[in-house]
Amino acid sequence: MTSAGAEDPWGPVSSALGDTVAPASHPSHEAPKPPARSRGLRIVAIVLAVLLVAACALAAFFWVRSDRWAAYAAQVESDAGAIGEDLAQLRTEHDGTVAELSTVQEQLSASQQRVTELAAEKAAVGDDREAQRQLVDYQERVSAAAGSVATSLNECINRQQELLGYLDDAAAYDPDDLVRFRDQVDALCASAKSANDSLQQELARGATGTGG
Amino acid sequence: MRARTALAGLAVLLLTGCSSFTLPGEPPTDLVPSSAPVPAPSSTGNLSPDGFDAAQRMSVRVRNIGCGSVSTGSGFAIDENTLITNRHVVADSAELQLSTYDGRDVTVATSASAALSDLALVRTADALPSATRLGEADPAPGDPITVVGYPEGGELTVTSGRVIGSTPDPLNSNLGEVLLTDAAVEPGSSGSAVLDSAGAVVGVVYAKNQAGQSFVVPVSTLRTILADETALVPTVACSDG
Repeated sequence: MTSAGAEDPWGPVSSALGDTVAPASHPSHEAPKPPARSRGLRIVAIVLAVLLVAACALAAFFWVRSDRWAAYAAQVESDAGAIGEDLAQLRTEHDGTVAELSTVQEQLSASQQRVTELAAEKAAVGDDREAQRQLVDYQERVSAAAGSVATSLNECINRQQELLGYLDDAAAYDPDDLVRFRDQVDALCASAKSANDSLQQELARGATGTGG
Repeated sequence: MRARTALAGLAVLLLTGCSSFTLPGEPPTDLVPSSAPVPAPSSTGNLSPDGFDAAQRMSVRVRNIGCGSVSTGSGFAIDENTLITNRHVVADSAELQLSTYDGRDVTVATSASAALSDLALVRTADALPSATRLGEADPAPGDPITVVGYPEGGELTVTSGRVIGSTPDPLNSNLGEVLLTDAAVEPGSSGSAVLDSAGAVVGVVYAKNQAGQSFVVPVSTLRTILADETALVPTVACSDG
């Protein structure tokens, strides 16, 4: 039924009986729900159902993915554990090697020092050997010189004794001969004395010396 | 409007989560890298199999057996059969005997001395264990130096010091100026090599003073002597006569 004077925003509506009727602007009781609202709800329900399905699929996917990543991580962790064990073993071996190297370096240093000391000892022995050799040579020369001096002095004594014998019986000899013989004996004894003086000076000076 | 906002938010979530949709591949079979960085050595280590460094291996001990005397000095090798020492170390000798850092004896072939500096050159019949190179220039005052020799005929000794400066030779045995250093030397160190921080020879020790300073023939003088064939004359052996 149409209320007199009411403006219908929807315009007149055709009923199933063919009569044109107009909606009431101020209904006095609850009117039945229009068909458009139920369609909207259907759409929402469909969308929600689709979303639910998608969420379930996504959840299943993530479940599977999570499982696979967990397996992957477990495998990597297992490998890392094995590598860690190897690393720990290598570190232990490395520490041992470093300690051994340090010991070897100390031994090498000690050996080098010993080589240096032995080389110095050998050189010192060589110095002593050469000094002794020179001393022996010197003593041999001195001995030879001393023998020569002793012989000269002995000859001087003998000739002086001979001269004394001649002088005891001077009248039996030519005076010129006696003078000549005396001069020869004097020269011989002077030479022997000079050689003896040189020997004494050499003995006083010593044999060899060492310097740098 | 609200539906559009919800749809837009869902699209954003899906786009940002695209990377989360990747599945893991097969786990790596080997986590150890094929090429690892090589650590740099902390030191250069020794330069010879027996652990002695080059400066020690090139040093030679000289024994001068004279006519009634025995004296010692030092020298260093500049090649396999040539060593440098002082003229006064080899002068008045009847025989020269050489020994190396490890006690090996080396036979002498010839020796020659310089007239204008206290330097001598000795040729050996046997090969010397190691040789050194000569520096290109004389050291400057303040430069660090190392002396390697046999002070007092004893153990091979390495001492360090610095160049003080240059001075005329107080002994008048060297033409031109010589170097003065504070490196400790003793009788027997004559002929010792003076090395710079790079290990090159920059001088030859020949004397010391009462203040404990050492006099050094600079390498420039040594180079001049070596370059002049007439600068060196064969040494004359002593005689007992």
